[in-house]
Amino acid sequence: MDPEERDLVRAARNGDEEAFGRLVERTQSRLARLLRGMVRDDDEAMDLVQETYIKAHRSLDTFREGSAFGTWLHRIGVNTAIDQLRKRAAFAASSIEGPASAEGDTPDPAGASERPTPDRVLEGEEAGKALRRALNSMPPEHKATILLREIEGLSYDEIAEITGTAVGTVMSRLFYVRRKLREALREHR
Amino acid sequence: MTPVHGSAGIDEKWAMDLMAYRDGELDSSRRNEIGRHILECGQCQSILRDFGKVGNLVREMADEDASRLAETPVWPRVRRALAPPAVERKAEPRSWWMPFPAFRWAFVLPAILLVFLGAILYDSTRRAPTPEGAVIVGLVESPDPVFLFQQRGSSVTVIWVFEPLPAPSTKEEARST
Repeated sequence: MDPEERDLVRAARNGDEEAFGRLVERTQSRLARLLRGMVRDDDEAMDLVQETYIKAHRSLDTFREGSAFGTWLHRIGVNTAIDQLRKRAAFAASSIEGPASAEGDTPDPAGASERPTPDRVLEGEEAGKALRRALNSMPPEHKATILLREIEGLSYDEIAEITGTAVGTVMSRLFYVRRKLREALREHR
Repeated sequence: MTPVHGSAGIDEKWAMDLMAYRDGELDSSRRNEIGRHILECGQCQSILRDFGKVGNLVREMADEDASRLAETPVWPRVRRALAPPAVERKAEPRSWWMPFPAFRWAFVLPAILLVFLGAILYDSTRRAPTPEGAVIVGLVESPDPVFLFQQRGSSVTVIWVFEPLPAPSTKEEARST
């Protein structure tokens, strides 16, 4: 943890709201990207980001100074998102409409699927859809693992700390997800 | 140096090592061993390329999706969500008129007076002999209680004036009454 962040965390723990606000501003884009990747919905992601910071604010006393604030925050965020995805899955299973269809099959209200992006330029629109569909079908813990690795560039040890699992579990989850995504890309070719 | 995978193909253990190689999670000796093998193995190169492609796509997808959220400020939302209990705590302990005790009586005295008058009115109406089928429609403020009754279904208004009994002059008279 860099000295400025450490000072901000100390000040926030002593009740300085502005210091906590600065911590939010410093970390929000990474957290939003991670949680958006997990839940695949803008509004839901922003709600989760907000909930994560509220939980973090309430449990600042439990934060150990030796650890990294970002890792601690990501752990709260990932667990919050996993809970949310489980609730969503339970709701979909109990709904008479049946399970929610994969994002690649549904109309995208934000228009994401219509925009030209590098992945579609290189791989075509179907590659993006195939990848989204495959990623969407993953268990929440697997999704979190691949995003922490590919988006955040975290080591296996850091991912294990955030997800509360062993390094071996992180490796096998990463391997499973990558194999599935590779198959999805190969199928659409 | 032992061959890293046989001619039968790549097993899961080996593929996981390839993945760890790509992620920089192997110790140096294993890393060197696999690195040398990759230079000569098209199959392993293909797997590594695919892992790389998957990683790039995941990142591009995440960047594109998150770009819509980048402009949304989070702190004001979080501050609002954290604020309500603090605002309630601030408002709770003191009222605006607390520094001026005289103001308190401006509210309390009329309230006591109202309760007192209400009790007198209730007591008077209970004691007043209401004519049969009549309802009290008014009470006139005067030294002696005056009640206005109106017969149900008619326009006749009855006015009853109660005169107080003269006060007994002696203790004997008071006892006899």
